[in-house]
Amino acid sequence: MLNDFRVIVKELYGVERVELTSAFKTDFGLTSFDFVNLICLIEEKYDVELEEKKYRSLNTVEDLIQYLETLIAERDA
Amino acid sequence: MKLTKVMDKRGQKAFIRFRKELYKRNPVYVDNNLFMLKEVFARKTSFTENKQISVINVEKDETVVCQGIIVYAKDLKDYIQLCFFESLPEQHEAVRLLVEEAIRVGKKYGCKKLVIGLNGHVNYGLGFLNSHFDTINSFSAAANPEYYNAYFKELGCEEIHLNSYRMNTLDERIHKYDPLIRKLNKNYTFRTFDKKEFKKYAQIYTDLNNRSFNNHRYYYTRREKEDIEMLKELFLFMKPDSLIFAFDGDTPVGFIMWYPDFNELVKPGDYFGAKHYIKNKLFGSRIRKIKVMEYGVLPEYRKTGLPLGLLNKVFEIVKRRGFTSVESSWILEENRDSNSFCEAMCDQLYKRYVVYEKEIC
Repeated sequence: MLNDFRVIVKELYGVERVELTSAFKTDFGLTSFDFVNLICLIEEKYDVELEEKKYRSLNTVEDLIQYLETLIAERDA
Repeated sequence: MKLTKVMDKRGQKAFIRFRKELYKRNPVYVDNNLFMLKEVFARKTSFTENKQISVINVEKDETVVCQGIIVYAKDLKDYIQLCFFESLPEQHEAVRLLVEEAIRVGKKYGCKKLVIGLNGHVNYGLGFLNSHFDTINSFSAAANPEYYNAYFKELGCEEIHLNSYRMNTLDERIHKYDPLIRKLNKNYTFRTFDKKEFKKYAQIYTDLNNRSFNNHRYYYTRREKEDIEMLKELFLFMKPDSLIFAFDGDTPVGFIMWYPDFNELVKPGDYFGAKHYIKNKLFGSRIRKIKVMEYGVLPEYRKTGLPLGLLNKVFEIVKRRGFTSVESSWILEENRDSNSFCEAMCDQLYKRYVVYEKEIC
């Protein structure tokens, strides 16, 4: 999933270095529009719906991946 | 040097004549406020309601050298406003007199600050031009020579900065946000202004303005009557799809207003007036630039990216009509959300504007 994520972020925002510890705001410099757009793209790609309250509280790539894995597991259960 | 309070038609004519002469001498600017001043003088507009208004010419040897309108709006009680300021160059003493008069009036009403560059209400204009002095102004944008700013700087006024942005081509940048746009199109419906239900849609516009801009600097509550009047005038020129609303179910939650840059139809040095109604009918399709005047989203919908959905609707329309570039209206520099939205969408920061404030306690 991290590799998928690297491709998405590079393609959309030209970010080269994506690590689990990377923070959306400080490391990627994403505006709030960029971030919400990224969330929408992920929703489409993985066919899940992220809760706004929840995704607003995510800081790092790892946070997002963990949340996403939970949603996918719930969806496939 | 003396201050003359304009009380009669003769004084009003002198006020307007001075303004027309100033613009005539200027090779690039179009006067977009003259029609409104005429309405103010004729008391034909609700602009004059709930306000105390003093129209002032400053004269030297019986000739007007500087002018402005001092406005006290009851709903913006902390501020006395010096509006529609114009002046010849090298009139420091005249400007000082005018500013002192505004402060005197402000003290009378218990105001805390003088604001220079606000034209009664933000919907009628805000700011002096502070860059690109040699470039034509787009419709309703401020246009003034550089020396106006020097007058207020030397009087020790505080500066409040505003930005505008431009997009030279309707490029594909917005498509970077297609996933978000798709979601917005799924979650919201977008409707254009319906002239058949003029009053209903005007009320929606007023309500969204009041709730979206409630905490913005200088904004105060608009009344339906004022907006109905303003929209009726705008719709003489613009089409219903220039005002687009976003609905969450049946609830209006945001809007965007844009129009063609009608100043492309006006000769620089001239003023925008009734004759341009015909010109717009005949040659309106030749206009190539649009102006995004304002957008507003209710506070509880701000983090959804809804402004992008509204802008996307504008782009769908203007691409069909052959417009090729976009300019934004002013945005307060302190409004970080709107500035970062424009930075993401536009090629560059374009014109800068400034409003002046002065403590008067």
